[in-house]
Amino acid sequence: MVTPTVRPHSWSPGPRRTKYERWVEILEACVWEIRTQSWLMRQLGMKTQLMKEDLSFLLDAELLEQMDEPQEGIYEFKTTEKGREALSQFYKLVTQFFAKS
Amino acid sequence: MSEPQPERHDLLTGQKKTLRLMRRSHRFLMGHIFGAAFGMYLIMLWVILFVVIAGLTGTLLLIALVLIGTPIMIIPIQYKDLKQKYGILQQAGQVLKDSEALVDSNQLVTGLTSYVFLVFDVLRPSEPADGVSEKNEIEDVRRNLSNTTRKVISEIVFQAFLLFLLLNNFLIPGLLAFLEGGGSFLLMFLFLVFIVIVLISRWIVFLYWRLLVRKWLRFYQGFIEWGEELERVFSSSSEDNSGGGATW
Repeated sequence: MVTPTVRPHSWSPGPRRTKYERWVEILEACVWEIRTQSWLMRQLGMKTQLMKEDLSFLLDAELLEQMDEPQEGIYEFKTTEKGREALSQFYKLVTQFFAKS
Repeated sequence: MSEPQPERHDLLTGQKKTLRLMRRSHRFLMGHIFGAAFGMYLIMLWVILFVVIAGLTGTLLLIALVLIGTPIMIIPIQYKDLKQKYGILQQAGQVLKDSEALVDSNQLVTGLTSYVFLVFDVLRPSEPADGVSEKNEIEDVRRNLSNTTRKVISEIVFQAFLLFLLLNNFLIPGLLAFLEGGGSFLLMFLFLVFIVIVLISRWIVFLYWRLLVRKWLRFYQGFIEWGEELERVFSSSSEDNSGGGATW
């Protein structure tokens, strides 16, 4: 997968999101930089329980990795190569859709 | 980053093209929201002018009053929804602008994801907003998308029917009544042609809007399938690999 060279736009969360949308947003947010759980919650406008569920899935699936041991209870995450590939599939879907439009 | 240059170039070219198409689609979405907000007022104004010029009386005047009164009742109902959609589209427009700026400076971007999800927010049916309390959220969205898609053709036909009624039962009889009263044929003819062109344009915009919505919803369906596949593949792989997981 080609790795983008610019950090993404910091977006505001929409009024509602399905879990698939939240997964894409988490993966994309962590592609560029290591992110803390609180940063993700704030930027994506997600509640704690929902964030835990999503992170749990992404970590179990090895799409996201947790960086080292948490210090002072701060967890940090980064998108794995597998996660980048999944994200790449999503980008292809977007490109295909607009190419047909 | 150590990515191969030809691959980067291809991706950049693809992104530029995608952004151009997104911009075109975005202009239309914004235009449609404006049209929905002000189009009815415009028609109301023309009907008032028509009543004044043609000096309508009786049944035709009654129809005219209904046409004038309807937008006054409908617009307040639509206002909140339109305002919310317009706000989201403005936000999406800013994301698009930022992405365009990056692509213009030959840098790869990922703001497209944010843009797509914001447009989803505008297009998908209004449902309970809090994702936390939703159960079977994917099934709910899928069912709503399916229902919306089914409605598209009937809505387009209904709009065409309304257009026909407006012409047949109001504008043409009004024109004839005006002519019988000795009014200027040229003035009324030009007025009628103008209204007809605008109404047909509105119908074409509506048709394009509904087709665009359907296309986006199909894309959303594709996105859900992508998510389901991700869930299926990685859920089964994580079951096999019992070690990992969050540690909090």
